[in-house]
Amino acid sequence: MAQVSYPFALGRIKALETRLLDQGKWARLQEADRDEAVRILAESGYGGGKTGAADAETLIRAEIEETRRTVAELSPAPEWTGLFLLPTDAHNIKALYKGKVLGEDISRLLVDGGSVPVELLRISIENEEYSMLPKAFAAALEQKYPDLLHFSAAVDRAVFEEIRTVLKKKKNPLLSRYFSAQADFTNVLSTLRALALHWNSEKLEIVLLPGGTISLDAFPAALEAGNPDLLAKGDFSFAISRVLASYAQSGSLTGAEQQFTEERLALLKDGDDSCFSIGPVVSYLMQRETEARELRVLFAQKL
Amino acid sequence: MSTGLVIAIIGAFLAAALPGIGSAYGVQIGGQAAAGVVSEKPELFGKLLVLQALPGTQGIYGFLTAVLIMVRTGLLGGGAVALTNEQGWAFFFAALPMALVGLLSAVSQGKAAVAAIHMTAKQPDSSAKGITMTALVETYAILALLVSVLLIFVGIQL
Repeated sequence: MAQVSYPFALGRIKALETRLLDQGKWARLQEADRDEAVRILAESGYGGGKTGAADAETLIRAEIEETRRTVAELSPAPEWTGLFLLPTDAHNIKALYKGKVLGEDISRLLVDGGSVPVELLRISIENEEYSMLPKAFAAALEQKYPDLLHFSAAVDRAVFEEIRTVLKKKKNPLLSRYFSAQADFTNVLSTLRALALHWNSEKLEIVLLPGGTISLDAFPAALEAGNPDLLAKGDFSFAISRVLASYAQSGSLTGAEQQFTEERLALLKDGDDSCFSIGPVVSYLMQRETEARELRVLFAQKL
Repeated sequence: MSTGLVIAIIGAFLAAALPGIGSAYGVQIGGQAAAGVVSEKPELFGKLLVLQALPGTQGIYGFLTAVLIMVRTGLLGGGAVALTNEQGWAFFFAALPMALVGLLSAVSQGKAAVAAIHMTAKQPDSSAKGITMTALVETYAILALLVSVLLIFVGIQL
């Protein structure tokens, strides 16, 4: 396939960005009852703009899958944008593995738009034949795990391992910085969760991710001291301090997660918004993902 | 044909070729950006066409400079002047402002046009602002054209 140029891809992205929900639409969605909100969402172009859709989740899912497909199709650097699709693969792998272990039908949990086709993942996991998968995922799947938490953590680590491998082959300072921040932020969030759930440090260590700028020893230390403020260090200490200060006041893990997502988006936007870089492409994908997550929260509140 | 005339022809060649290459690149990236936007918003075609075309002017200025050198040296009239080496180099250097500034400003204007096209995609009402901002890059190509024309017609005695 011919390489898509940056001006073309970014031109399309800028046009697509106008379809993100603006403040006016958010206000209408918040005020409307559930059925009315589904109608507003459909009119805003979600799910291909088909009105009369059964439920919000169908529309949100269709939109996010379409976004992932569009980004994969128009990306001038598929290796880099593919990194942002790895969490979708991880989600599918976890669902398929869980379905296999528990003997349940999990097909409704699978989502399209990852870097590996869902069908290939399904066949690979069913037959325990992983040679067609990215190496990091294959290595994680070949291991045996005592429980699903260990498996889930191993798949999350595989995502970061794959990211590290790809960025080593094709360097991008913006993305390296972004994923380092993501590792740090996720580890801080895991520590906050561990504190809230009274986990011990051994359990926390299972879920810590590599690739951040904070030493992995710092997280169990902060947990044992019962003081998350000790984690305001590394290259992104300012962002972490801001989130920890808000968390100290609100005590909301969901709020902290949302703030970390905003900090990551800000890194992408501030870091490189030139007309000839991958920043705006992945930034659009992240904005859509964030929008989908916030819509799910909004519709859950309307139940 | 004198050596001086050959040097003048090289100057005319550079005046036509370099801004032409720059303009082709500028219009190309502008066209790619516009195609990306139009694939989602076909109604913006008219507004984006102007922005795409803007980096093309340097190629025209370069062509004009080359034609003026050919006229002044008699190449177009059929009676080419036997230029001395000094006169040939004078034409060569007279062509350089347009050749170099034309090349670089066309590339820069193409990049400005891409940014303006992206801005227009998000805010279609801002297309006039985008055209103004992109057109400002043109100033330096026009100044270079003026210098080249003045040197060709006033600065060189035959």
